[in-house]
Amino acid sequence: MKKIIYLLTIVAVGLVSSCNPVDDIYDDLEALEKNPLIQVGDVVLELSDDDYNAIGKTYGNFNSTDEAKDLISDLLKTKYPNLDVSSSALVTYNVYAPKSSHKKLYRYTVTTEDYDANDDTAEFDNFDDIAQVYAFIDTKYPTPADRDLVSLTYKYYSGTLNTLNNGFFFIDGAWEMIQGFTDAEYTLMGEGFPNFSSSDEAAVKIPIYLKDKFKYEPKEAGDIVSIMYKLYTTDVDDVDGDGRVDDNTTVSLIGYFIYDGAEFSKYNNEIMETLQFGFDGTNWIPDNTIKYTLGRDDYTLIGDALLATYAGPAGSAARYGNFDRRAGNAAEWTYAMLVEGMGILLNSIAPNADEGQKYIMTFDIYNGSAGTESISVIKTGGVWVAN
Amino acid sequence: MYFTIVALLFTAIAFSQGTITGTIVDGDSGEFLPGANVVVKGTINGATTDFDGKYSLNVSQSSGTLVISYIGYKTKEISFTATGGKSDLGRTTLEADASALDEVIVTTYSLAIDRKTPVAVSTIKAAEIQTKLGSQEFPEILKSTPGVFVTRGGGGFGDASLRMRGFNSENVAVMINGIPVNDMENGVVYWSNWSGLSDVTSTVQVQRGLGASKLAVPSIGGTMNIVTKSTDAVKGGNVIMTTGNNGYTKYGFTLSTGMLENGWATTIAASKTSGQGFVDGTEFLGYSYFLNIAKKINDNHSLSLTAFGAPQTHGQRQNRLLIDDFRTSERGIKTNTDYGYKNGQFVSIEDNFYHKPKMILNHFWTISDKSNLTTSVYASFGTGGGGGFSGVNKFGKYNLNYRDDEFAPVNLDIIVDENKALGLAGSETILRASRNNHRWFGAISTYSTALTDNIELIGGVDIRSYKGEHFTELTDLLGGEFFIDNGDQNNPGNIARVGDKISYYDEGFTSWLGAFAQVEYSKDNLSAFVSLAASNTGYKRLDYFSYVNTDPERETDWINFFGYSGKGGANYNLDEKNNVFANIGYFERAPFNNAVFLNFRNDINAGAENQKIFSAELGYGFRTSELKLDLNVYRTQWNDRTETVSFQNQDGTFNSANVLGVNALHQGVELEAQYRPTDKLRLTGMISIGDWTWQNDVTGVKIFDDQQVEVDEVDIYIAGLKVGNSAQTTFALGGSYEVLESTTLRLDYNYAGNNYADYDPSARGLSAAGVQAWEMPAYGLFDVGLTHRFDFGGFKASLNANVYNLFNSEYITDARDSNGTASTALVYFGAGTTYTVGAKLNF
Repeated sequence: MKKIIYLLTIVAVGLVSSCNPVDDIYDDLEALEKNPLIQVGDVVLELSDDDYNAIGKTYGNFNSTDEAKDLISDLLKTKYPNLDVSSSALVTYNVYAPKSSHKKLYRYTVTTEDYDANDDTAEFDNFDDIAQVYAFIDTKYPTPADRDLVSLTYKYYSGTLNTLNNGFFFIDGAWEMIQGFTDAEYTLMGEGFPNFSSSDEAAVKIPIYLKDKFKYEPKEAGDIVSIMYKLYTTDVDDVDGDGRVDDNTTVSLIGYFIYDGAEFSKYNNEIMETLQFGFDGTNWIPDNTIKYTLGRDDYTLIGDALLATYAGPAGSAARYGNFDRRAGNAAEWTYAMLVEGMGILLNSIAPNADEGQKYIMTFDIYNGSAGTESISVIKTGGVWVAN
Repeated sequence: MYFTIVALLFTAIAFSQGTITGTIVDGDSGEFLPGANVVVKGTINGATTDFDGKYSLNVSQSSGTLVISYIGYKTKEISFTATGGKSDLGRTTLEADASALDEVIVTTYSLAIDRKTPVAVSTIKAAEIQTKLGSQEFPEILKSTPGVFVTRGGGGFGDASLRMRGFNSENVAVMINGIPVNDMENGVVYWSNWSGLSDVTSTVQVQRGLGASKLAVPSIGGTMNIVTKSTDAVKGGNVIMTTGNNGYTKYGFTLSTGMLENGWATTIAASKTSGQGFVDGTEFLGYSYFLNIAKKINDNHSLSLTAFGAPQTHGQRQNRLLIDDFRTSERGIKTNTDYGYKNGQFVSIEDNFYHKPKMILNHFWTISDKSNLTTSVYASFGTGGGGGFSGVNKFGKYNLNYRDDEFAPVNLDIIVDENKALGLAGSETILRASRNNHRWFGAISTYSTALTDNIELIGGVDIRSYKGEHFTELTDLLGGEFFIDNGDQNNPGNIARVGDKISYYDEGFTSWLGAFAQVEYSKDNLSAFVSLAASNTGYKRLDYFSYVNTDPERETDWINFFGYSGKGGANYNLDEKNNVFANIGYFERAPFNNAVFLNFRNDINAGAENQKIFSAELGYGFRTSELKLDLNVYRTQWNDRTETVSFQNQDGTFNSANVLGVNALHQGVELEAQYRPTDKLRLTGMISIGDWTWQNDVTGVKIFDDQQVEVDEVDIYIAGLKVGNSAQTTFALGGSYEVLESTTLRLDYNYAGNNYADYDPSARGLSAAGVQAWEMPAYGLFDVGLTHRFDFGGFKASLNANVYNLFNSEYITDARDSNGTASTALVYFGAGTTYTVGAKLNF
């Protein structure tokens, strides 16, 4: 008797230890959730120091856009091995683009004799045309060396008479004017004398003031402006020509400031660029493919357009806002039907797309459960075909 | 039973001489027999056994004979001597024997007799129902029976489904006291209509395959023969109270007057059951009542009136969900997306409410020693329906506009606000009920006569008249002013309000005229029968909505189908222990109403074919006092099957496909055994292995939405597909052990495997040809139970506790296939661990 009870117990325990019958299915579903394996994804990436290090660019920037294209392609491959064809990456990175500073500085204040020496300026003893200033510089410095900077103080008439201090920078074989500040502007920036006492002070104050200075001359994000400013500092180069290099004097410097759309900041010789890459199954290549995710009305549009051709599938798409992808189903959308449907949609939403324009269309599907799929189409000979 | 009662008449009670006590047990199972009659021979003095099978009887004579009887058992007589006022007769065993059932009952109810009737039979007795059933669905009492697969469907109260040998309920004849209860129009059995029946059932006999019924009944998978209590011979009663998981509460009582001197006897029983349901949003409230009044007119005539019913209302889970939905939902396997809250109140969007009282009047007439005639006249009136919505669907499981979270209850207040905002445009979303009311009258008369000592002739008629009324009732405008309905051709643009009929409204009429004859031969070890039944089924349809009033098409003529069945079989008892039997049968039955009138209109299907079923079976039985063993092999070929397959759309609405002309082959082996090595221990076991497949593809299957609008026509490729939602391999092992004299422990294990998802008719196009439906993971569940009997203030009382799915196994019982994979199948999970604890007090 007892033996039978024991036997029953053993059978019971044995059967129980086999656990829940649905555990295997749960495990599969869970695994799918945790490890998405191969999938189509859209990455937005701003390269980090680690990313630059990974491709051997220890300075955190690229030498050129071409170099960026090559190296980022490699980076994406190792960084996103699970992404499948049709994935895209929008990558933001830095390209090294240095701006020049001067080698030798000349300071000069235009004198009455200088104005008198030119018939155009002799009468009022001031300039009233920028060409007159350039003519003067050419005369005054007939044999400039590369990266010579002239900090020129002169009187200029344009409605009112102002005394200006602007820089003239000889670079690439030509003089280029660099805006400086007037004495009044230094006063506005809180300076008792028309100069800054330290470069730190200049770096803080100038960006703030530039917003004001360019209020009526708006800049766009990414614009770099060059500014010449004066600094009262040790005369290490003997700019004043007194033979001493330990006294103080006022020197002029060129500063570059970059506008980000809202604020100016000191330009540190890097430009930020953004480029889209597409994955073709083997390589990440820069491309202009547009990604589009269908909205509710799009299914209706496609469904209505194809109702006469594919009654069941078209009706289903319009009704449920998705494409039925169950093989054998009365409402099944095959790949070819989807391409046809996307063509109809693109002709409606992008009638003027260029020849060769690629689209990756992402849409909701039903295959027993809800999900999404994507297909790639390209405009070829004016028609949208599978890509 | 009635003959026992006869014996008790015209006797007198004398003064007491002493008290006789004892216990009656089932000779088969060793279980106590509650409700057995114990009567002093030649007197009306008697008692019935309590839940423990115990009786106590005051006698006026010092010695005599006790007649112990119980329906379905051989009556036994034992002598007693009441010396010193008290006598304990100890344990008396009754041997089960359907042949010992009142002959009239056996004949009228078409019960099978062991080692005589050549069909495969399993019998469940009252004691097992009362101890094991608990909060389970009534058909679940059969879950350890070979060939039977029972699930709770969505899990709502009474939403169980019973399948036999892979056939669904419309192909399993369910008979209560010999009266067929399958729906006259679609053959379905709704268990919620019969939820109180378990309290008053004395025996359930499952006949697999052709069965013993002489009527033309849909016993393709088998027959479930439910025999209710009739009148108890002795006065008494009981009170029960049961509680369980999720607020399950049941109260009930039974009262019997016993046979009175004037020949009248009455038994009444009633109960109330309520609870929240294991599945979220399946609150339920059910009542049941049972009344039996018997009158012994004279020696040859007796009358018996039985009336019973079970009004109920319950929340349902209609939408199957993905396995991943259940896995990720906070509510786990209890998740139900078909309910919500309105103004803080629970609202079941998919509720069900029904009441189907059934009344049966039996007349038993003993014409002579050789002949008798029994006539049953019956009626049932069904009222009720099932809820759902109409208009804009805002109930999708992922529709977060109306749910706080995926799978969270629907926030109906938002829908109310939107409907209010629509003002005079009317509600765009409403709740409705699909109503299905009916009136059913019938009569069955059976004449039985012994032609010779060995040959019995049984013949009779079976007449039925049925009217079904189908319409959609607007039940809740959800805040709006009205709802514009275009269902009625006579009143398009109808401004409908609560209580109005919308969408569709029609009546179906079914008339049934049947006759049957059976010849039985029985001599020595051989018994055999040949039976013929013929029936004419007439259908007629009247459509109030789809046709204008003046259109003669709105009412059809009667469409008649002639069906017949012929079957025969023989049993041979090789010796005292071994018997073999065989049966074979062929029948044609009328297609169902919806295969005759297509498209939910008066479109008569000129090509509607009778369904043709051929079945053959071999059986072997082995009997000793310890071991009972049965082995069957069967093969059922079913051609031109008509089937309505309902399936769920991706947005949670339901479509149905009318699939005509399918062939199916069901074959298998079944083994069942009972072993009783000692008085205290009983072991049971069974193995059932089936191979049930669809055999052909079907073209031109029309698909309709739930508003009965045709939405598609498809070809379905299902040849070779496994018949779904019925475990093709089942296995059970159970034991009950009397640990103490008053305490019994039970342990049962049930295994179900090879259970395939039902195919989705909309997803079986050409490219799905040959793709097998998804196979659900096999599962095994443990149930444990304990019964303890004790004295409670002078009353006999018992405590009964059951734990179902002891180890809280998570398992899938029903699935709808999508593309043969687990991740896309829509499923119902079975219940986790549930329990009931109940007490019963006898008086």
